Amino acid sequence: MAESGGSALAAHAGRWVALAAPDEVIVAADTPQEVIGWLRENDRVAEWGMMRVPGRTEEIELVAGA
Amino acid sequence: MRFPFQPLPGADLPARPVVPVWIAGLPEAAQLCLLDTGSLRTRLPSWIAEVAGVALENAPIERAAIGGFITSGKATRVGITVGSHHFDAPVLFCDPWPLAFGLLGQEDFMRHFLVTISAEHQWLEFQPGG
Repeated sequence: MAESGGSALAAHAGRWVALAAPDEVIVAADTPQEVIGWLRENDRVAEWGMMRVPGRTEEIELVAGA
Repeated sequence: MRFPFQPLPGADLPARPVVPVWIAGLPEAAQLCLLDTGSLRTRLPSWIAEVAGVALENAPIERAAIGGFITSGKATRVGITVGSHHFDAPVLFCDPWPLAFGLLGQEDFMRHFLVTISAEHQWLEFQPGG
């Protein structure tokens, strides 16, 4: 079930999410393969993409870059 | 095609020039990519090739230095769609890949468009044709 709002992403720190919109999570899982598998099985499309939500502060700094 | 800058998910950081692109063989999910004006090449994480069914067995291995880390990957041509515009381009599929976004480079992505960036108003725009 889709979630929305900024807290929806924060709740999935360290996991992979598929997004219908910048802050609307379709599905979350531990691996990108699981996310794609769920989208395929449920005939859903992540229009706003998929990514791993950064976890620790250092990780956030790394993925954010300069 | 105009895209608003987007913040990094889960982090209270400034928004970035990010574009949703579609990789051939993976219609289930767009891939958010950072427009990297300082990079010549387009680089994506290797898991995308795996789930999209992109054959990399015979692709050449390349090393890449990206934002302070070293990675390696295999390069091959794939179909890329942005908005309604489609083209084939070489992509380096890398592992490890600690970034949240893929990176879109000059030679294999930006050359297909005239790109306008407004940092003041936080949007970027692509006009096909370069």
